[in-house]
Amino acid sequence: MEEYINSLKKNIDKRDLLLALQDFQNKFGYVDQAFIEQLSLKTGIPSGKIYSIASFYNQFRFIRPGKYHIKLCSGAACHVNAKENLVAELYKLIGIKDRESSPDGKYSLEFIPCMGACALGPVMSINNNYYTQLKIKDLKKIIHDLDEI
Amino acid sequence: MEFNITVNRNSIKAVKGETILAVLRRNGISVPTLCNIPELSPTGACRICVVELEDSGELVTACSTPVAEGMKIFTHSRKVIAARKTIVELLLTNHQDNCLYCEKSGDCELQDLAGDLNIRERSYVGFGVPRSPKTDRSDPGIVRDMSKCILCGRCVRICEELLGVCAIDFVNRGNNIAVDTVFQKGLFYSNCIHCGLCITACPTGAILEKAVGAQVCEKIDNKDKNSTIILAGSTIADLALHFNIRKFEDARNYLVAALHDIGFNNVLTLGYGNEIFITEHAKKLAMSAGKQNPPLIISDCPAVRKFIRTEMPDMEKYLSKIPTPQQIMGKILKSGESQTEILVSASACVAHKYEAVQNDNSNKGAPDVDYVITTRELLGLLKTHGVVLPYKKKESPDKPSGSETSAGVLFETKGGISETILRELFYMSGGQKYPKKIFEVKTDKPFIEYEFELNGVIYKIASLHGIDTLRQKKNEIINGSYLFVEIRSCTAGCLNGCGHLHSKDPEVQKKLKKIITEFDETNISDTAGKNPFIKGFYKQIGKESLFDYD
Ligand code: SF4
Ligand code: SF4
Ligand code: FES
Ligand code: FES
Repeated sequence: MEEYINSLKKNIDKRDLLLALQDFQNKFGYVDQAFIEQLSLKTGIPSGKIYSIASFYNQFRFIRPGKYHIKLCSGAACHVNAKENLVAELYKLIGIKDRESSPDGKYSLEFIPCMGACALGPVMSINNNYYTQLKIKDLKKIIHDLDEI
Repeated sequence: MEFNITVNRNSIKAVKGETILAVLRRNGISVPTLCNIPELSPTGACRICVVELEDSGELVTACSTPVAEGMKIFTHSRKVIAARKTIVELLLTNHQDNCLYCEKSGDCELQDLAGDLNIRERSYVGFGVPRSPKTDRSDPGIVRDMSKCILCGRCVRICEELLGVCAIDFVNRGNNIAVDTVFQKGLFYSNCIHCGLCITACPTGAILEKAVGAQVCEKIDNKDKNSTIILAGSTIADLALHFNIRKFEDARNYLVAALHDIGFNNVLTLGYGNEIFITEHAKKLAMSAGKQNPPLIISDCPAVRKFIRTEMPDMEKYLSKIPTPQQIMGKILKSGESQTEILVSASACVAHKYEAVQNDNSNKGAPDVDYVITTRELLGLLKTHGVVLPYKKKESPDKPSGSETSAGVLFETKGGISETILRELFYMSGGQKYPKKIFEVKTDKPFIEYEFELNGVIYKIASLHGIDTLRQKKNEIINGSYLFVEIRSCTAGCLNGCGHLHSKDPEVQKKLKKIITEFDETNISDTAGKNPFIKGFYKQIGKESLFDYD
């Protein structure tokens, strides 16, 4: 990553800001603060502004994804389907909240506005595995199994 | 082009291109605003300023709608009032109800609005959860309690448009939107220059200085420890104005007596530190006269110093390394003969809180200045102790600041660094009568130059105020062959520092300036070198200067 950041060209056009952010995220899975600071120097846009712009878009993540990246749907349908209880349970199990990752790097968590399977809610995915009509006892088991690995 | 519009059935004059709000304000018709900042572009975010168009019944925002010929508006029709009321009720939906315990209480625009609109109960129950419960305490001088934020964006725009710093901005969107710093790590970890402008911009109690009044009281009650408080000139002037005391020296002497009674062993003025700052720079300039190219950048402003360090590192080598007056006093009072163990500085500046905790401003880990309080906090301290001015007696400041010169106070005004250093340069070179009020005619400009002749040589100096101006004038400063350039972040020098009492009076800075100018005009001791304690000080340390210049 350091290498990538150091190899950025001297001046970056303001209009290429989003492209630069996307490119970085595609390579490293998230947007790192060191990268934003560099980008700020190269584009002349204050780092606070860049973060403001990037955080406006759902596509950008600001935490290093864990080995298991958990996405929990927080759309309306899933929400009424007791998503809150799941969030609380998840917090009990792995101790992280939205946009956090666990210190050991094993898990990270992200809420997603709607995952497009509303009828099957609550919906969760871990890496590329999807879980639908998720119940608390299912969640416990899934995490328990992952903990064993 | 000029034409008439009708406001509440009266005809008033308007000029094409103006906003409705500008016309109303000029004619003394008041309409509430929240997100509007007069000097900056309107955003139309809060909708509180709506007025009704008589013909269509439509509600439009006064702050962002331009006037049109023949326009007929109502500023306080039933419909308008109802709309404003709903807006405030909605804002209150996720605002806490703990005004009683809020430091901003009595001075809060949201509270005032709720009162003016006669809102006496919570209309939307069940949503009383603060939007974002996060409080940012990372900064040594500023606390951001985001549960009180109403997202008006004033702080964001002040920091971005007026300063170009952009330490805080909106992050995320929709329901999760909040005002925060880069990576939401807190002000201390951002590029914030700790100027405190956002405190003065915020209509609610969401951004405040980190208050230390209670700790200060606790310390001075401990009689085993010798305590000292330093009063800045702009703080004294501000309190003089607040209590309607005409003369600077009267207000100062009342304050000294009152603070002694409250429990401080010594009460000094910052004027003494200012005088040493002036003397040190005058000596440095006299030594290098004529060879100063690029110029020496002189700033007692911690915000400017931080800005140059972080955003203009190539300019740092021109910046004078002599500590700021507050820290000079800290170094003197915490060493040598002085008995001071607890040092409190009362200042009109929020950035001084940040400054006091910087590493180079401490001795073996113990800070030179223990607590910095703003003028607002000092007034709070006086109120708690039942003090009002005029106080029952007067006392002079303790040594060594006993007989401060008027230069020590004038120093804090806009252009004051230049004027007082110039006086001292002339005074040191003997005989030559020094020019006074050198910037008087142009004081409203952010960048002012002045040319003078000393011992047959012509010199040029400049005075610059405002971070945005600093950005614009950077090259001019480096290449302009000035002897020195004075820089401060606040547009009227320390007289509109962000620690001042909140005032709605647009003339407040002029009045403060007047108090100080009168003090200067009636004082024959008007340059730093005329203070006998300053002479004594250099004799005592047995050196020409306190700090190594290079
Ligand atoms: S203190 Fe000044 S620089 Fe820092 S966030 Fe507030 S306005 Fe911006
Ligand atoms: S912190 Fe204050 S000034 Fe900033 S957006 Fe919130 S309410 Fe407005
Ligand atoms: S709301 Fe969860 S999938 Fe649409
Ligand atoms: S003051 Fe006009 S919309 Fe906020």
